[in-house]
Amino acid sequence: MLRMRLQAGASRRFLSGTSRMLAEKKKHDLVVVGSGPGGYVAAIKAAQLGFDTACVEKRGRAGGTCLNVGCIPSKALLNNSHLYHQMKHEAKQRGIDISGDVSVNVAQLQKAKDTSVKQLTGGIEMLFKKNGVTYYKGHGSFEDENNIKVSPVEGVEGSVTEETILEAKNIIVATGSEVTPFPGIKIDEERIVSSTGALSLKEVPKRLAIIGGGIIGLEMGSVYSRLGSKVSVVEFLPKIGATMDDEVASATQKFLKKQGFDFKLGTKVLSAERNGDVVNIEVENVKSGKKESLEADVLLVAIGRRPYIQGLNAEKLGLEVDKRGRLVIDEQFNTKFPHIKVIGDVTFGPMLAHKAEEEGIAAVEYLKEGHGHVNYANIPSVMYTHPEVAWVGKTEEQLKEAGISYKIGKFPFMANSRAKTNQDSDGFVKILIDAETERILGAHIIGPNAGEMIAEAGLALEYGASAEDVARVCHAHPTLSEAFKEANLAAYSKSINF
Amino acid sequence: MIARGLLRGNAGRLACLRALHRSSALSKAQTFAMPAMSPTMEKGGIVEWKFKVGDPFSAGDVLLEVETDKAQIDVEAQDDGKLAKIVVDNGAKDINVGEVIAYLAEPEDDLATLELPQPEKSTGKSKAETKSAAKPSATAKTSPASISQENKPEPKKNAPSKSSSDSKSSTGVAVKANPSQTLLPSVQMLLHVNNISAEDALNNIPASGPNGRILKGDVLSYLGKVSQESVTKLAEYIEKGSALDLTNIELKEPEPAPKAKEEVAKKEPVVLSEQLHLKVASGVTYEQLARSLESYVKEAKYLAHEQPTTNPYSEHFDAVFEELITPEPRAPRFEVSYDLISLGSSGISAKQQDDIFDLLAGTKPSPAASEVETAQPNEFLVSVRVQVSDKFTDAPTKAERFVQYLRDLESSAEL
Repeated sequence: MLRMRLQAGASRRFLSGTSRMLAEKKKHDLVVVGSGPGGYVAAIKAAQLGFDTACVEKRGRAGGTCLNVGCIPSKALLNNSHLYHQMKHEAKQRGIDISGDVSVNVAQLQKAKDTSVKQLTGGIEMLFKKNGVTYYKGHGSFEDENNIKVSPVEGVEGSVTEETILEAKNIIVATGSEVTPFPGIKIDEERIVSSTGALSLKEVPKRLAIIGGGIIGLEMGSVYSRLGSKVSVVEFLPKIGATMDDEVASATQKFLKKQGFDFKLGTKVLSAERNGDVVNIEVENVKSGKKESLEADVLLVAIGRRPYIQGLNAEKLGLEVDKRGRLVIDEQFNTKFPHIKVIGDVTFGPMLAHKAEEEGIAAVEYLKEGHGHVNYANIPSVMYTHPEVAWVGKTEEQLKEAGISYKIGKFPFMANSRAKTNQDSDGFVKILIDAETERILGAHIIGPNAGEMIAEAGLALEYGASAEDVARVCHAHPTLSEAFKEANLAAYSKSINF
Repeated sequence: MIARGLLRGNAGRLACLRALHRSSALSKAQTFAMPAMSPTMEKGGIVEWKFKVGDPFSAGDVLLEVETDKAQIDVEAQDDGKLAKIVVDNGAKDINVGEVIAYLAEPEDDLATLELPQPEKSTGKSKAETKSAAKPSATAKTSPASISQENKPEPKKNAPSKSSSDSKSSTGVAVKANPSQTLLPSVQMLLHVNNISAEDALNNIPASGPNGRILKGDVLSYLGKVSQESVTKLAEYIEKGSALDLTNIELKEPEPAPKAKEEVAKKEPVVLSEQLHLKVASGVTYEQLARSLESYVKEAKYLAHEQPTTNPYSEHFDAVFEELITPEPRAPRFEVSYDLISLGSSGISAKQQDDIFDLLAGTKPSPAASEVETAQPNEFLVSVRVQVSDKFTDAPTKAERFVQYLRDLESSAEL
């Protein structure tokens, strides 16, 4: 009796009540560390399959990078900046007269974004409740291979108040990724920002420089370009768009150039330094060695993301980590401990929210049924610029590399009725099929609504469809999806409307 | 699993062979045809070439200006390269879309030794159909909208050795068709045209699609229109991509001791010293106190490091971000050493307590304490030295916080 009282007194002596002397202990069938798209989906699925499931999140708000500082907030900004741009530059020609000025209210733009984010992250907590997932807000780390320690995190609403040990039969690590810093460039999230800071700029910079011509850089560049920034993109590789098909990448570059982007490809960043309210960037052309100085009001460093295992104690436990910081797994997502699985950005494969989701489901199904399925050959990528770019399956370059002979079917949106009526007809659909069997191998779309249309390509790939199979499916008229059908038609025969 | 291993082995060999082929196929120019600048354009004129033969251009550069019946339009290069030969010169009019107007080379190609492909026979029907320079049989259709098309599928002579691929086609890739499937539209069409009933197809045609699905290619192969090998090879290629590539994982090497860092800036180390005066119940031995003090110091050290240095209650506080911007968040900010010196008479007791607050609290009269002999409290002096690291800006704050935890201990002893 007394002893307990005294101990309670002891723990109170620490400012925050943080004390390892008194660790609460809970038991669960499954503990998921991280509540991003991989973690929360795994947790809900596991609860649905009857596991007593817990999910640990140190950010407090669920949803991980994707919902809080990634996919979701960027799409809010992209959509509204696009509307603004259309109103400002296209309204007249479309027959809409706006009396007065069309202008941007950055504060409200940010507020609209925050509202969406709040609703969606809150939605996950509701889903947890609905499905019976226990949600621990706190910093999760391995105590040993069977126990996850949840430590309080200051400033996080609803954080556990004292260290809690979760004894778990199974553990899924879904700790995600973080922004890769550029060696030698200090990110202050004011003038030199990562994607996180770029999502919450308080004003539109006059000049925005971006290191990295990948998806994140081009999307954030689009937002601020539409709002009036002069955007320069510095990319080390000779092409933009990361793993995009080369032809699509150069088409994208052309469209963005028209929108005012300045591209410095094959260019290396030597240094970047903040001097008061400007950032000075030194770059060098990789081929010619020519040096150049750039000045910008804001510099966005968007060279990629890296696995995040800081504070997880994974290495202490003996979990293997590869050279790029990824936790090593086998085909069933197992680490060297068969009851510890790893999914999402923190392990192998493309760093995409929807890939992590698939893995979350599959990992849980492995636990329950001993079998799960993710088709890594059929993971779509989307870039939400305008026009949008979306692709799935193989690129031409990959097919050449593998020595597969292929045929191309292409259909421009210029010849699509809906795109024409929308006065939004930049881009094309490109279908790659096997030259002999005509099986669809890849689909590459640049154009309006590409991100939605790519789902049809995914379905076709998953079922092993040939171009003819898609072309023989009735598509509604007039829709943009007809362009997809026509491209398939063009691949094995001839398109009708072009 | 074994099949997959085999496949990977083959893939490795293939890659080597391919590399050889690639180098020999490098110096062949590509045809550059009159592009269709609009869906209705049939003929066009060349206003002006913007590059001379031999001059390199980059993707996106304007190569030439083309004239249609409606407008003059800039034609941009799709890839880096250079002009190998101009076939149709400035000012020419009424050139059919798809007609060769120039030859393009890779930027690194030597124009002197470059081989120009034979002029294409105009097929008339498809405007810009270019045949692969490397292999005539591998036809690649490019739509008229494409301007320059590099499309050289590698020769596929070096397919996996027959024995391995054949053994797989019988066991792995092509399986008995799933009888409960709805046939794909392309398959239905082919069966109808060739008078094969759906039942016969399900019974006789090996299926290479997912879940025993009969694909168009399977029927074509069954009809002898394409080779079984190409169906097999394709199915294997697709199968291979469907799993994560977990081969050739290079593990991170254990981090070397950070020697280099120690050499950096050896400034005067900041040392905080603190003397604490502790009174404990007489029943507590020196060893007991030393043991519990040790664990308390460890605890306080951990907590002093763990708490953020910025205001965690601020609206702008984000724990994740804090950790991101904290350099080496797990590196110690200070080192601690201390001496525990006994000042009073040493007590003799067998009471097993190891929580320091219990030991200290034992000075207060309590039922538990009264069980033990009531004697004069022992007095101890703890002399602490905290050496603050000069490498981190948050080190002094954290060290100070640690010292504060120790002072808490003293004040609790005076309760």
